[in-house]
Amino acid sequence: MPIHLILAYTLFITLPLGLALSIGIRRRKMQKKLKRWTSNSEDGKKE
Amino acid sequence: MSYLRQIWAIVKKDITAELHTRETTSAMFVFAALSMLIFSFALDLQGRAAKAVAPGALWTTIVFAGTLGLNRAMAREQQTGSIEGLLLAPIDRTAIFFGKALGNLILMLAVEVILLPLGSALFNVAFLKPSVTFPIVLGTIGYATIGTLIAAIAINTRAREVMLPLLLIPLAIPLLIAAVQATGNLVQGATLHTVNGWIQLLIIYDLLSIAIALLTFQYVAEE
Amino acid sequence: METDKTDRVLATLSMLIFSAALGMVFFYAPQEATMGNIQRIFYFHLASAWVGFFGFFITFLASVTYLASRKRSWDILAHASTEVGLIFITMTVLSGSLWAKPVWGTYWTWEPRLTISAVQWFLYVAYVMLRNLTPNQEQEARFAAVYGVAAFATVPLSWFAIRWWRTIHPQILSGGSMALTPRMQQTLLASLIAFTFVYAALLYERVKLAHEQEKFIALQMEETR
Repeated sequence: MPIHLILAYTLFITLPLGLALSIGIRRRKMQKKLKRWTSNSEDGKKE
Repeated sequence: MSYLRQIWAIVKKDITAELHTRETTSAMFVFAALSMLIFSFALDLQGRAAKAVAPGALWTTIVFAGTLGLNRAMAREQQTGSIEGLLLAPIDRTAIFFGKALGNLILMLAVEVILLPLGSALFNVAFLKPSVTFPIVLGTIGYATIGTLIAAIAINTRAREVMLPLLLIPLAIPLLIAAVQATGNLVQGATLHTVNGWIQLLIIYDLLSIAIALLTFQYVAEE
Repeated sequence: METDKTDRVLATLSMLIFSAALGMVFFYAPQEATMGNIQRIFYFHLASAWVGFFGFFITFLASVTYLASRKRSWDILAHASTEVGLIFITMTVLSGSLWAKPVWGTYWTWEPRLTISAVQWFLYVAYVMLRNLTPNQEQEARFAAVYGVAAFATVPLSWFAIRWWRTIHPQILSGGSMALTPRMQQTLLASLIAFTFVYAALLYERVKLAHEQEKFIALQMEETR
């Protein structure tokens, strides 16, 4: 198999995967922040 | 004030201001001349080869000089705060746009009046043939139209003047291809009939940019 | 990371169909007569080109709707579609370049499809830079929407201009017309479907992220009142 073919398909696999991971990581961070924020304000309300 | 009078009032104001200081046009003139000179030296071509690259050199120069002019015009708007004044006045938003665009067009055409003879001399081509000036004017109209819209956006970003070419040039690709092809063919001796396709593309582009500006300038100029 | 059903369905389907298409590209599609195995780039290259353009189209639609409605969710969709679409256009340009080298001996050529992909790439990047460099969020949405409309409107014109430009210089290229056998057509179709699902999955994720960010900002603003 030609090297350029392998390179191209490596890109086809890694680029979308890379974006998916990037979005996933950003979402996890954001969801953690949201959880902490809502649980903090609940604690605040209890007091 | 009637719509056309509104446009004319804006054009007159801008051109008069420019005639007083001449800062934008002189910068554009000098830049355009230098650009053609650089192309001449850098490409160092004679005869037929020079003729072949002349349209490209001309249009690259028009694009960069035009961008300079658009930036200067918008920057001055912001500095003097005149854009707020205009927006407060009971003038149709699109009239403001056409006034600005027409002003920019006049500046670009003024520079081309010097540029075409200069280019003709440097590259030994007939830029001043009436048939050749036709696509040049059409292309300039398109560039000034879409350029005024984008300049209004670019000036409000953090990178200001740098944003304009970045945003504008990819939009102007069809215009540039058609303009260079038409100019080039005509300069090599073709008739307007043979470059008909390119001329039509230029006209369509001009109409499309006017339409886009008419529809969207109000969203750019909101306050 | 919390996911909902749509997240999981889209992700699973994309991965399955993508793997299937990949298999078809290497094991089901026949070897092409003139170019050999390098031709296999064509399937995913064309699929990413199509999806890249489609993403641009979605950005255009969302931009128009945003200008008309001023609802933030349309702005979010426009932005998300650009971010995802940029990946596909990047793959189109890179794979096109990797194809060009063995076939035409050069990493770049002004062949119509490559050129139009490069133009779209620059438009996408300009859009992203515009969004990143506009300080005011409300302006950012408006400006980006206007640019999204203008940019997409010029793409058909660019396509025609580039086509005409390139047909009068045939010495640079003549390849690009390929006879497709049924197996090749099926592989191409599978690739298109796969990439469409991948786009949809990534778009959905990106939109969800943006809405979660919105929610966070809204909560912060409530607290500081």
